[in-house]
Order: sequence, then structure tokens, then C-alpha cells
Amino acid sequence: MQTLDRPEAREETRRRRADTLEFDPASPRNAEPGGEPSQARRTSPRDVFVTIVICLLLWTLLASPILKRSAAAGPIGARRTAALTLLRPLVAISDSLFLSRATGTVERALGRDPNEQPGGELDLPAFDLPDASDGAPAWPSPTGGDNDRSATNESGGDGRGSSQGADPPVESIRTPSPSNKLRVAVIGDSLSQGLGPAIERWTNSSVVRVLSLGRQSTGLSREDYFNWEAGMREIVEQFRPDLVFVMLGSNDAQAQISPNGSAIPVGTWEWVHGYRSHAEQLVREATRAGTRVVWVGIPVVEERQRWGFYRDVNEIYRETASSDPDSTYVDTWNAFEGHDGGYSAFIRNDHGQLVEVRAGDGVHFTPAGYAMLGKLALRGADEAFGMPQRAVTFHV
Amino acid sequence: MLFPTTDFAIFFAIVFALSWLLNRNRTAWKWFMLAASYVFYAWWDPRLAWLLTLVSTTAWLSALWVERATEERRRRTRTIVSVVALLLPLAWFKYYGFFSLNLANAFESMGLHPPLPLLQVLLPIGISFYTFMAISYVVDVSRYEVTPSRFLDVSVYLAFFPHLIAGPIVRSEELIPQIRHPRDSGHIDVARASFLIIGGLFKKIVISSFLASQMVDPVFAAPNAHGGLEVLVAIYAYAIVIYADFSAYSDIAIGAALLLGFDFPTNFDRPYTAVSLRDFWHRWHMTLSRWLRDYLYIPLGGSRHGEVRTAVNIMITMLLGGLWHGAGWTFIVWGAFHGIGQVIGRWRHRRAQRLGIVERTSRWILARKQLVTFNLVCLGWVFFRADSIRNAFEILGRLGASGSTALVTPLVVLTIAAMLGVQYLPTDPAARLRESFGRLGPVLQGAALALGLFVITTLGAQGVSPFIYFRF
Repeated sequence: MQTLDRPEAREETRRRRADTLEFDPASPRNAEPGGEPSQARRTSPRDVFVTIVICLLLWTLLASPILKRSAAAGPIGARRTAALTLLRPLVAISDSLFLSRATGTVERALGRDPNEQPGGELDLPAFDLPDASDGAPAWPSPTGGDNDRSATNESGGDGRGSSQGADPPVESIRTPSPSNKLRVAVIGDSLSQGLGPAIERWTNSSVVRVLSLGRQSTGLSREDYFNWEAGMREIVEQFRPDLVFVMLGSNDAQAQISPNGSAIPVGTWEWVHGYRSHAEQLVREATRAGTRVVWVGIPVVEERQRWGFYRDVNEIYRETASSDPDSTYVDTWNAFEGHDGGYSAFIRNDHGQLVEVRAGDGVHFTPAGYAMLGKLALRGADEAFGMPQRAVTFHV
Repeated sequence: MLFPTTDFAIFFAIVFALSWLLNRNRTAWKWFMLAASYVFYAWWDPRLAWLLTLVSTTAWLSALWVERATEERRRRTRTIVSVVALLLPLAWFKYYGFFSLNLANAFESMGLHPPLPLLQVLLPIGISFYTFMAISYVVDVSRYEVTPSRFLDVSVYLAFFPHLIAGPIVRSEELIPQIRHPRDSGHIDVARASFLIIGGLFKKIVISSFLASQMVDPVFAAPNAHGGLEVLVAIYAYAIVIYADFSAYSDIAIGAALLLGFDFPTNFDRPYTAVSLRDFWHRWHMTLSRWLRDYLYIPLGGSRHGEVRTAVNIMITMLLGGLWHGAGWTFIVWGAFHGIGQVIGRWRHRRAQRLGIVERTSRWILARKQLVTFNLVCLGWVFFRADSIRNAFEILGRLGASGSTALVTPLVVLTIAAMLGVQYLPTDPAARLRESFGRLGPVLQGAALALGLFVITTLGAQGVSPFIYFRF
């Protein structure tokens, strides 16, 4: 530092700092540069560079199977291609040196399956399903519960969601009890990760069990990354949910890639056909076991370039939900529009107060926004299937 | 750019090599480091990189303008104008949305409808940190502590990538001389730097991510679905999450700077061993505490104007310190909580002095103070983490509730206990391990670090969330 113009001023500042006790450091090391210097051998930049390069190369080799899985999960493009081109020979070297086997053993020892899909496994928590002998149906069924009301006489009759076209009258969701809780699962992408806890907040935990199973960066396009159809199958088999909320699609504007690597480019008829098949299969996996599905659509987002794609996939979700009497579609696009019909980060809540509902990225929600979204989804479930009042903490 | 990513690893390897190659040619080094730092910053979101240039230019011009005033009163006026100018971007980007929304609702409740546009302003990452550093530079010039520096020096000081996003808040008198002079290429403390970086990565990728996803996030998102034990453990877990997350960033930043030949101030010193809230602030985010002391508390008058004024000064400092962390009522309450705690602590200390009571310092009394302080800090963290005041009270209200204990697994409890326990352990064994590592050759050091990284990669979560302090 250069010579100070007024050293006495500096001294004055030091003295004042010493006078003012409350924020004075108790520890002599407080926020002073230096920390605890090591007494070990100090090295030159060249040595350190060698250390860095060896560290990165060896780590890349050791972790190459993990890195390859992660790179393969990225969106189609130059970055993914370059990463895979680089990693494939490294994985081959790792295999030939038996390193993959050794690191796989380490991964298993540390609790990770080296062969799991890149997006990870669902890892459902442990829970006890009710015993059928206590009089409560263990398997959800539209006809299996002691319903407290029918769908047609208490919840608005014919105006229920988008499954109104189905012929047989839809029966209400069963009335839960503490010994046989209503089982609710929430699946989908990062939007569903906010929706899940919101639904949990609006439901009565003494009679409702909510599993929030959303996975970041997932959808229906990239089954090679995470397969929601298989996930739904696992959820239905193990958790036997009465109700599943699905909210995904915000990451799906990309090529569909199956686990065997085949790709269908976005923007083609094949893509639309394949996407619709995935959506239908997802719903079918649930409803064939008696689980009701509430498909929550993608809300309006800030970036107008995405509107076309999101509206198109919302239409696929709506049609898919309409085709099955045990599924319904909840529109969120209009619910979160501003006065001008476009995107707005602020809307009014039930009390008429302005609330910031959208996160800064223009896609996700704030906690207050998720709370509104959760209520909207539960109201959609009520309109379609009749939610028992004791299951929720607001008046449906 | 996030520290725990392969992008950063590659970036750092390149920057490290070029930085030392250009070490002797300081002008070339400064331009290179400025460019590298802007790449680091813009990697996340290039839209607001210009703001960093604006703040740097404002700080540089302000310092020159202040320096030219020789008369004390004029100098002070110019300093105030400069500080306000530096605060304007922060006020707009960070606080406009919060205040306009609250004002609009307040006016509407009175039946008024002022033309107050509601805007959601994109928050530039790191703005709170580099704004505070810019203010410290201008005020230090005003106080004759440093002389104005060249534009390039000021720009590198503010943009230097290790501290750019989330601190430590380094003073100009500490960093600018290091920027000006070539770094000592024969004395890189690679052992200390490696331990800081690997330890930081472990804290962030393994500890913080695990406790946040398994315990804290589910409970804070839906407290009504969880029993008292889960809520209590989630509160303790959050204390570990925020410590592991933020101290990890500081450690990696200090370690990366060390490898480039720079010495940053310590930012954390075993904060959960504090014996009082005042002591806590001597150990937690120490560079922020120091900033608040030097540029807010002392200018307010510090403790030089009687007990009442001191209490008011402490409250103002802590309230604004709380607001610095985020534009929300929860942060204001958190700041007020720490302010009140410090005022009460000071009052008790003074009272004991007046009555001639000698404070006992037995091990048990110390342990009791540590326990009380830790729990008070945790109580404050509830407001810090909650998404609203209502949410915070909802969480606290669930402490006595019965319900599920499924989330309280042995691994969660063990992780919390280990992270607390390690703060009480003597540092000698770690220092000895570091010394042994330092004696290894570069090849063995690289191999050991690669193994450490591999374990972290395997144990760590899929994808890494941004550091909590990024949003501040």
C-alpha cells in the first residue's frame, strides 16, 4: 500500500475501533489474513500444477463411470457429445485396469448402486400398509372405500375436471382414518418438488400420508435419465396410493431418448406420438391399479418462446387425462396469468392481498405460489373425484 | 460458475497456470485475472455482468472524488454521496420488489391505490458482497487509511473470482497490495489450500446436501406433517446445513486464493463453540462482522455515547445486518433477535461488573453457556430458514407435537453430532495430518486428492445446488 496522507487519521480509526467494544474481535485471529499457515514443505507453482493435473486425471479415471452416466444424462448437444467422446475411452481404460470393478465395489460399500439410472432411484421410504383384516381396504379402489359422499351429489356433479366424458359415474375418494390413511404421491420434475410439500401442508397429516417424490430435471422425454413409467409402477406396487399428482414437462423440450439410446428429435410428429404414448402409459400404470391421477398442467412462464411448446404438451396432458375416468387435468396456465393474460409474478391471494408467487427464474414458484398451486391441485382433485373434507385443512 | 463442478475444476487449472506464468508482469496479470473473473461471473448468468463494471467504476471515481476534498466536512459529504451511489444498485436489485409489494398492500389496506409498479427484479449474484467491498474501499480512502488506486486495481479487487460470489469480504488494504505486487512463487502452502478445498467440498457436497434433502427441506416445507422430534432435529440439522454450506464456500475461496498466492482473512472459527451471541458473531462470518463494525457500528457512534445509544446502535447494526441477508421480514426478525440478544448480554455483563460479580469460568459453566448460546442461535436460524414469519411460528409450534419420527435416522443424528463435535476437538491432529500431506511429493499429493474427490463424488448428491449465500 502506498504511504498514507494522514497516518494520524489511521491511528485515530484504530483507536476508535478499540473503544467500540461490541463488535471488537475477541479472538486475535478474527478476520485477519493468514489463518494458520502450514509448517509443511511449501511448493512451487510447477509442483502444484502437477498435483492439480494428476488429481484431475486420476479422479476422472476413477469416477469415469459416474461421470459418463452424468454426461449421458445431459441435453443433446455439443457439450454432451464432447463429454461422452472424452469419457468413453477413459471408461474403457478403467474397465481394462479393473478399476471400474474396484470403484463399483466402493460405490456399493458407500450405499450407491453403480448401475442405477443417471437420475437416481426413487428410494421410497418405509411405511406400513394397513392390514385388510382391520376392515380397511389396503388396496385403493374407487369402489373399495367407505366413501362419505358420492361424486355426483356433493361436488358439483357434471363439472368435474376433464374426465367428465367418461360413462360410469366416478365415485368419491374414500374417507381415510388414522389407521388407514389416504395415500397420496406427488411425482414429476422440480415444479412437483414444490407442489408436493404444498399438498402436504394443505392435507391433514393424521389421516393423509403424502409422499413427495419429485425429481429435479426429469420428465417424459429422457427415459434414459429417469423413467417415470417404471417409477409409477414401483410407487403403485409399494405404496398403493389412492391419489397421484403428476406435474412435469418443463424440461421436456428436447429429444426423446430411450434407455437403449435411440433418439427422436423434438418438433417431429414422431416426437408428439411418442410423448403422448409415454403420458398415456404413465396414467395407465396408476389407474389400472385403482389409483386416481391428477395431472397438473404447466403454468404460464415468463419466457414467451416456451409458450408454444408448453401449451402443446398441456393439451396432450389434458387429452390423456380425459381419456381415463380415473384421471383428471388441472389447468394452471390461466390460474397464474396476470390481468393482461400474460405472465405475472404477482397475483392476489384469497384475501385480496398481492402476493409474489413466482420465483426469479420465471418458471418456478415462491413458497406462497406453491401454496396456491397446492390448493388449486387439491380443488381439482375434489372437483373430479370428491375429496373427503377431513383429508384437507381448507374448505373444499 | 459453481465451485463444486467439473467446469470450475478445468477453469481453475487453466487460470492457475496462466496466473503464475504472468505473475511477474503485473499489468498483464491484472488484465488476465479481470477477464477470468468476468468469465467466472458470467458463466452463471451473463446478463448482469455489466453491473460489476458499473460498481467498480463508481467506486474508483468516488474514491478519486473523495480524495480531492481536503476540507473534512466536504470530504464527509462526498463520502456519504458516494456510499449512497454505491448502494443504489443494491437497493434496486435486492430491495425494490420487497418494499414496493409491502407498500402496495399497506396503501391498499387504507383504500389508496398509488401508481407503484410491482416488479420482480433479477438479483445479480454476489451483489451484496461486492457492494460492501466497494463501500469499504471508498470509506477507507475517506478515512485516509488507503490512497486511491488505479481503475484496473480496483476492478480486480472487486471482481477477483475466489471471493466474488459469496465472500469473504476482503478489505482493500488487505487485497490491493497483493494484487499490485508479484506473488511469492516459492511459497505456495499447498497442504493448507488442499485441506481447505477438499474439506469444503466434503462439507458442501456430502454433509450439507444430505442433511438439507433428508431432514431440513421436508420439515420446513410442511411442518404440520412432522412430529416434535423431527422438527427439533430439523432445526439442529439446519444449523449444520448453513454452517457446512457457507463455511464450505469460504474454505474453497480461501484455498483457491492461496494456490494463486493470495491470503484471505479467516471467515469462520468454530462458531458453535461460542459462549454468547456476541462471541458467536466473532466466530461466524467474521468478515461481515468486521465490516458491520467498521462501516456501520462505529460511524453510528459505537459504544462511545452511553448505554442507551449503544443499545440503539447495536440494534440498528443487527437489523441492517439481517436485512443484508435478504429482503424479507424473516431476516429482519432474525437480525432483531440477535440484536436483542447482544443488548441483553451486554446489559448482564455490565451489571455483573457494577456489582463486582466475578464471572466463574469452570468447564461446566462454559459448557452451559455454549449449550444455551447454540440453542439461541438455532432459534434464530428458524426465522432465517422459514419462508415467512407464520411458517417460523408454525415450526416452533410443532416442537411439542406428537407424530412421525421416521426422518430421525441414526445417520442424520450421527452427522449432526459429528459436525458439532468436530468444532470442540483440538486442531493438532488435523494440523499434523496436514503437515504429513505437505511433505508428500506432487504425484502422491495429486493421487491422495483424487481419492478424496472420488469418495466425495460417490457419497455426494446428484447435482449440486447453489450455495445458500449466493442469494445474499
